[in-house]
Amino acid sequence: MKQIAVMKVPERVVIPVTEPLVAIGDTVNVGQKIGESEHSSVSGEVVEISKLSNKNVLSLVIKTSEDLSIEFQPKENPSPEGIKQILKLAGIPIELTPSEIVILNGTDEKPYVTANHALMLEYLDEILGGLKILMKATGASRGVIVICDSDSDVMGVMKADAKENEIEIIPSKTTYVQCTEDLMKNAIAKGSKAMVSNIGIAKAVYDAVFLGKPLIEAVVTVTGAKESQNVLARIGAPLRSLIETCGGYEGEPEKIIVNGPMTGTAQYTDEVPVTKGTYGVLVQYDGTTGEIRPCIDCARCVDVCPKDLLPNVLAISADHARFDVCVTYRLKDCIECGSCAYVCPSKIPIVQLIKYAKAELEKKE
Amino acid sequence: MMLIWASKKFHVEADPKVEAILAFLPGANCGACGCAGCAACAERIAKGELPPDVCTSASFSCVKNIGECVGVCVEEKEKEVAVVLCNGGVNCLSRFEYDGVEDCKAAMLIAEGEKACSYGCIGHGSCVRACPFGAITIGENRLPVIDENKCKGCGVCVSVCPKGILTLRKISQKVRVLCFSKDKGKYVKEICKFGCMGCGICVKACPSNAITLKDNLALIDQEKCTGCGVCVEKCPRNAIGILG
Repeated sequence: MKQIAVMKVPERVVIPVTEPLVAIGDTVNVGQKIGESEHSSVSGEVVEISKLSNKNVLSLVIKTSEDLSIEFQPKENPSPEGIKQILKLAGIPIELTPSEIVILNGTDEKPYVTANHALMLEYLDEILGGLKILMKATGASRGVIVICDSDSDVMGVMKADAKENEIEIIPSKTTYVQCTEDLMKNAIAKGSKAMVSNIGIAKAVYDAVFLGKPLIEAVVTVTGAKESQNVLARIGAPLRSLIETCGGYEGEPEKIIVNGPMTGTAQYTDEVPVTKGTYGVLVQYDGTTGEIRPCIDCARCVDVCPKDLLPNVLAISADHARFDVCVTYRLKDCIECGSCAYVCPSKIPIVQLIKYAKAELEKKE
Repeated sequence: MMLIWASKKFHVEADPKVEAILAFLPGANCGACGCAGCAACAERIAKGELPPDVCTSASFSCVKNIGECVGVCVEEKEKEVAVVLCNGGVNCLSRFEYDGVEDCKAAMLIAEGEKACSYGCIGHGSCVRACPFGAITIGENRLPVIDENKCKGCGVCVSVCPKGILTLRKISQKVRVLCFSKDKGKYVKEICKFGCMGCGICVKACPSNAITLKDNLALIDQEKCTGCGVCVEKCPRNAIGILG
């Protein structure tokens, strides 16, 4: 079975840009630079430049004309500096720091997301190639891919190739909140300098260096549509078109959540575009969370917190606008994994309160 | 015995001037003067760091007494009250159902609140909780209602509102445009029953030429306004209101 379905080119794409380099009426090609680090994912005409949805982000709307296939020009055997330049030009969100180990997170620890698994089965050579490039650019001697121990099929496919390329594969337990950046650094790098990236980025790095192709596509796991599957989507495509690729809705959707049910955000419309950071779309048909009741001090959130915080104290302090107390209780260490809100029997939106406290503190600074 | 001894031993000599001033301050500790409570405010007034009329909540007779304490003559200022510059509430469309923390600032984190109008009140009551005088309640149409008898014009709600639609008005300024939307008229008409579209009917109707249009919004020059109420009658959207 094919792991990743390729999406039909959408009729129009919406791409958020910081500073547009094109004007209304211009024709753009696939991969053309349209903003500081943004590229057009389709060929067509720019029909609108405006602040859409939440009025803060400037977005380009491009109406697709015929989809031209473009030959991208790669550069031969670039130096580490050259690689940095290429990745920057390709609009890949990655910071290359000199390090001894490059760790790729290949786990799909978030529920309802299997994008990494599919990518590893489909694009193994590209991912290993991408990792090699990252190692060259950062001067690292060790390359590590962390995968879930339940992904035995990936292990089977990868083992021989990884050995050939001198890349380690480290299985991790399949539980939620297992592979955050610092947890992995502590467990694998043990004090030496490490850089953590993910599978999708590694593929994009390969594409940029060996094919000369900028980052214009993302693999997104769509769950809750008629056929749940992984889809290779163009950046800027509306979520609606993704769900249509998967056979459409199963009924009247209640909630559409981008990037997993634990850490993601519910969207109010399916016209929201896919961005470089999108990896999962979940449609829920019964999304009601129930009434919020007072905290009963059961401390289940304390038991479950992977960072050993006291989420109950943080939530109550945030609710009382005592942000100074939040700081004392290490608010900034919270990784917003959502485990506390998930186990809370009183349905207290703990993560939202924590995010609110963080936003308020940021404003004060 | 121990307590009596301790109270005498550690007795702090308070400045009689500060105590006198404190007696005239309302004691709500609202913080509108910028001090941490009324006691801190009284100290700063006594030192001359703040003018005697810094407290907007105190009545004029109190302010006058404070002025006498520090030896300054105070002129009477007109009372100010808060006003909500939004008339939408339930009459303004929602983009989605919000299901989370009942607080405007927390709700703003999710796509700037659920209202289709980005300028409108989202009605989660941050101002209600912030008001030190209990003058604000959320009314039937999910908009804050200000009790002008209780409101002291301290301005705490003005600073707490994330949408910036609460403002202070002088009690004599009765005619206000109860909309803050700078969106285009067509869009406002689609999403809100009572939003100002910037049609300009009030501009023509005003007998004292007090109204101008700016950013798709009617703007009343309070200096020129006589409070005749013609604009309130003529407004096709009921976006102008007579307050008080």
